[in-house]
Amino acid sequence: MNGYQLVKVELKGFRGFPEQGGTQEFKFDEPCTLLLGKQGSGKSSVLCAVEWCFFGDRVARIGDTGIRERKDWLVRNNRSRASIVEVTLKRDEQVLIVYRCNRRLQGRPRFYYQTDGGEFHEDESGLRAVLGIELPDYMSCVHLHQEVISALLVETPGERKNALDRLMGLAPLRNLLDGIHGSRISEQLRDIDNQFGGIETQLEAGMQVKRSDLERATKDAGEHGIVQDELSLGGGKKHIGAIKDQIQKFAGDYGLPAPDLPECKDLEDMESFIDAATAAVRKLRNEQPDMAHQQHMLRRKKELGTLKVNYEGKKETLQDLRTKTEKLTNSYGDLPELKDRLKKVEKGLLPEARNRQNEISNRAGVIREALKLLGSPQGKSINRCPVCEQTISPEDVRRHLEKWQEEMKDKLASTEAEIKKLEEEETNLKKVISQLRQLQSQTQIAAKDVSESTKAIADALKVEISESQDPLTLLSKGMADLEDELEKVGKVVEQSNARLNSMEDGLADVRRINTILRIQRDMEELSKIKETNEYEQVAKARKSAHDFADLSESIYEAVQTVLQRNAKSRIASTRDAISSIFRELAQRSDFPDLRIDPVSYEVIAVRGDKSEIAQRFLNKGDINCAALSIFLALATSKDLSHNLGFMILDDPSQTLDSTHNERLAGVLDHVLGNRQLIIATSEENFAKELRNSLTKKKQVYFMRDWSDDTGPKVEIE
Amino acid sequence: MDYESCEMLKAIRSRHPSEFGKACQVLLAITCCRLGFRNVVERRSQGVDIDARSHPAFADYSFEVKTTHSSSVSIGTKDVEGLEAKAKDSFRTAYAVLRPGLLSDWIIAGSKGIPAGNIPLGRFEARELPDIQCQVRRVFPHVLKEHAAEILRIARNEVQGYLQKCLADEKRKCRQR
Repeated sequence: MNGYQLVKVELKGFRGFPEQGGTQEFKFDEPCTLLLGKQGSGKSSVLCAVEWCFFGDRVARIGDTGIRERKDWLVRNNRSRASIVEVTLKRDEQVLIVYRCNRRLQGRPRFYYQTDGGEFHEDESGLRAVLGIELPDYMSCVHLHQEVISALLVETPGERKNALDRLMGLAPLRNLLDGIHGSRISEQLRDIDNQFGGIETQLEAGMQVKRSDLERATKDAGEHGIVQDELSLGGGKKHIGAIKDQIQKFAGDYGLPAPDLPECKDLEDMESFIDAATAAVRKLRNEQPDMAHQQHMLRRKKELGTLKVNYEGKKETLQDLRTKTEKLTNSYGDLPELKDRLKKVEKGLLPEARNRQNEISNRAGVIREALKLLGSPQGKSINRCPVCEQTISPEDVRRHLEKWQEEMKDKLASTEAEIKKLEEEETNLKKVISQLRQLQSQTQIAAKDVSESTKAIADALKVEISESQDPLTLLSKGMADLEDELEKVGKVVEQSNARLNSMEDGLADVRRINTILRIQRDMEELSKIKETNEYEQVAKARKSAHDFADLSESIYEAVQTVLQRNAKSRIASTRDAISSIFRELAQRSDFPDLRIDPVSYEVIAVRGDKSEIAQRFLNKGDINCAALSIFLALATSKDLSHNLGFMILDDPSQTLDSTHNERLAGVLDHVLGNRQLIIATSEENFAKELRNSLTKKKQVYFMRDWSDDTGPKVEIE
Repeated sequence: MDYESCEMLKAIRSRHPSEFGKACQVLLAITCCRLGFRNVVERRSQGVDIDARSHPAFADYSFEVKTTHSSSVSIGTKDVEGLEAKAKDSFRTAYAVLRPGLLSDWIIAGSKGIPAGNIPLGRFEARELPDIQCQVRRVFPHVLKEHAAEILRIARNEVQGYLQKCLADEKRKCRQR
């Protein structure tokens, strides 16, 4: 059974064929059809229309085709409302029509295929089953795209590998691998694991802290005589029972109400019991009668001590004042004497002295005036006393007067000294009198204070204190009695306190046990973190992530295996054919053979034992030959079976010189033996070679004068 | 894994770092004996680490034992090939992976589909064999507790001798049962 032959392609509104140009029909009645025309004349659009009709919009996606130029690739002509392509195929006597439109028109489905005018089938996969081919294989062994040839010429190894993938029909698998790899699942997983590890680290650190706390608490318990067996809930309960008994008995012994203490069943109760029992012991301590008595006596002791200090202070003040008074009196006399003396100085001695001073001053003035007169010119003639009229000798008078003047001076000086002394005495007397009066007043107050202190002591001791009794002696005796009594009460209180202290010590032990049990419980809870809902949720989420990663990793490995197997299988099945075609096309003497290395996945030029990556030294024409060799070998391989009996070559001669063109035409003539060929070229030389070399009948379409409105003008030769 | 077991494993690793992996391997072999495998073979050098056969309920298992303290395990081509060969001999092949930690434990994971390379623990967890794993996790702490003190006491070059003797005793008891 032969493969499907291409019979007819009708297209409208598809890429280079605008709606306005009407439906263009291309018939492929002969074994070979040539589409000739310049670049941009619409040749590739005709060829791609077949591809789109079979495989739909997948051909417009870079992910499905692996062709970079297919990014943003427009199916619909931008001046058209709809793209319609109908392809007619024939296999033996069976006619297969495939229709595709980018939207529903006049009730027709957007896609269908029909066999021998039968019913419309709208399932895309059904067509692929009929044709026996998927898009990747169609692109690797039916339709050679010009982009694939040019991509094999690039220098980047990654891109060369991709180009080879496309030639080998493995691009979708490679895309899948790249997609999984690009999703960075392993990095995300590492992050998740790190975060999860962080939880474990924190948990372990927490456990370490708790372990240290436990060791410390156990050591502390051991130092307080708690044995290992008691470090349990049972041990704690035993202690609690003993403490409870002690408390009840103590309350009974002292006639105090028995405290209400909670039961202890678990660890939480233990804590409540410790709090309640601590409060109860504190209350018993405060309320025990001996303690109250002791407190009272201590207060009284303090009170008497204060009275004593107070009395002693007051007494000392009074004594001090009296000493000062006595000292003053001894020095200056008593107050009446001082007052008399002051009166005498103020009223007698001082005025008398001042009078004398005045009198002397007056006399001295008269003498001074007389001496002044006698000393004047007029005075020398005076010989009679102006007062008594007696005859005087001025000289004698002057001498007497001068003598008197001297006497007056002496008297005045002594009188002034006397006055000064009396004034000082007056001041001093006033000061002393003031001091004595002040001391008298202070002494009275101090005496009153002492009296009040004495009264306070009498009140405190509840006795009458007569003048003859020493309050201090009485106070000391009272205090001594109090001390005796305090000592007796202290002993009683000490005994009851010892019982209470024992209870508190017991409670401290229970607290130690409680602490240990709590730490143990915390450690147990920490170690059971895996049983918590939160942990389970986190672990579940982590497991889901790992399950997903495992799945994707498994898919990755499976795809990689399939990819490698497919690549190896295709390389193996086409090895000889590739080499043969390349030998014929390139005819290089240095590296005549070509093969694909299954490990490095590179196109290798070979000569005997020598081999070299083809791209490194082959010229563009030779690399084009390499791409054509691979494609033609795959297209004609008997191992790759599909139901298409035609081959489409889009501009296969790019970068080939005339010699290569001639050889390629020769090779294609061989291909024509078992394949219908549709070849598009813009190169006149190659077209000429094809016309000359292809021995079977040919149909030639000329496409020229392409315009935006009508597309190309198509002529049949 | 419980805190006590975790601490014991860490102590063993700290005291005998070079013997830790092999010690865990023998302890796992003893665990297999305790689980009721009547025929347990533990290999120190060549071949898959443990073969555990003749259990009334479980299939015959072949374990490749791995210990780690990170979040991944290095699987060698030899490990993969060894287990593949065991699978052809009708063993159920598994990796037994131990990472001492409070949130970690033995992972007993089917080996099918795990390639050679540095494999994250999560990938083993995705293939865990819950029945046998659950039993190993249950019994291993008891085995560890029994032998940890002695392993920690003895010198490094005595560890293997001691554990092999313990394994031999365990096998004998197993046969007697």
